[in-house]
Amino acid sequence: MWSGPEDGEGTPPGAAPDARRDRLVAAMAELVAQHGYDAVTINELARRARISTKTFYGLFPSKADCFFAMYDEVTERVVASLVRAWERGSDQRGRFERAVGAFLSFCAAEPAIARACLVEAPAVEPGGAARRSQTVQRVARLATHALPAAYGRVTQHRSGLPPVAALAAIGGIVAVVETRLRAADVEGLAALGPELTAAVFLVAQDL
Amino acid sequence: VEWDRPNLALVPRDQLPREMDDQTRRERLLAAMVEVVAERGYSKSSVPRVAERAGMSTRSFYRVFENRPDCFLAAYDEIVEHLLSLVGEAYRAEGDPDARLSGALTAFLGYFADRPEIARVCFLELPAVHPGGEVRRRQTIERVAGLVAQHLSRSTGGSGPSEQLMAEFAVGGVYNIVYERVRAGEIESLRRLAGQIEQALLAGGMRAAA
Repeated sequence: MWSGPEDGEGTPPGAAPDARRDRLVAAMAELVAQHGYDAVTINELARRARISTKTFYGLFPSKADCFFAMYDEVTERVVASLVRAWERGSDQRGRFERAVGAFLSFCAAEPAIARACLVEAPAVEPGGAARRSQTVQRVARLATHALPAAYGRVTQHRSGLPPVAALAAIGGIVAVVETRLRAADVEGLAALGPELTAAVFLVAQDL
Repeated sequence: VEWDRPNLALVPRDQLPREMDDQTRRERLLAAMVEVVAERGYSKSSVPRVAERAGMSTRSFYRVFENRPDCFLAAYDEIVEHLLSLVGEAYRAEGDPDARLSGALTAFLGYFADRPEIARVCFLELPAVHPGGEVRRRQTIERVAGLVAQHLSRSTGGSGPSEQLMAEFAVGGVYNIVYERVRAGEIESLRRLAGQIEQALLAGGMRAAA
């Protein structure tokens, strides 16, 4: 499921701090997925990452910081997959449908991580709600572009979605996905792509 | 804070009746909670501060509410009931299904445009309330989506997974637009967006069947 680094067996003492950090982030992903954020303790995180709680505090100031490190990694991974999917499409609608499909596939393949990042993250204090908003705006900016910036010919509002439509589209898609993640009803999630894309394009006509 | 409940208006402490009944205590605490959170944010609110604002002791607070989240969520619930009753009135005031949808949307957006502090409390502060804030947020979204799905099945004649999906999509979309406006401190702009959002909803499959 979580494709982070392997756990610490065989790691030499005094391993690079980055490896321990990676193990903690992976441990956070596993524990949040199993028990929910509130139930995760620093002791348990440290135990699973095979480090001391003192070392934990040397790497992260708090449980929330460790969670957000996990959130940021997942977000980078998912956004990168959206952009790759987007680039494979041949026209605006095809690109959008592929990007929606990539998001739905991630949620269907890793529902527990998706649930942590979509459902739990906004409630993690301090800063969870701001994190969610940043991610939404980032993805909305991508959706307002006809082509990824890498092509060097970003056309805003022309063939990309207008900004208000992009916000509405993302809010709408996330709401539909959240309901299913909360109800643990992920079967059929990946198949919703065409219907959601159709909804986005109907709505976007007038925004 | 405009609360729309005259009986909740905070009378000066020296004019308080010596004996408040339970209902008065409760209403004063709810109003004080919303005021304190609107001023300081939920994370910097506290039971003593809310009790003081309401003109009573911390002990009296705990006779009415279990704790700070319990009180905040009770206040949030009252706001939602009030909002939905106004939205429902606006919906029923029209006869034509598309006009009903439009009336309800205008009432919803107008409610928050008229009450920027309530909007910040409901959209920005609620998710910070532990435990229960995030669950409440989603329950409200799902409840409104249920109402929209009902409207769709009545006005378009269909009632299936597709209406439910469309309702969830639309409510999530409108929520996101409002949330980001509230966050950006541009609550006033909601009124200007009402027409645009309405057109989008109608174009997006919400138009009544002819």
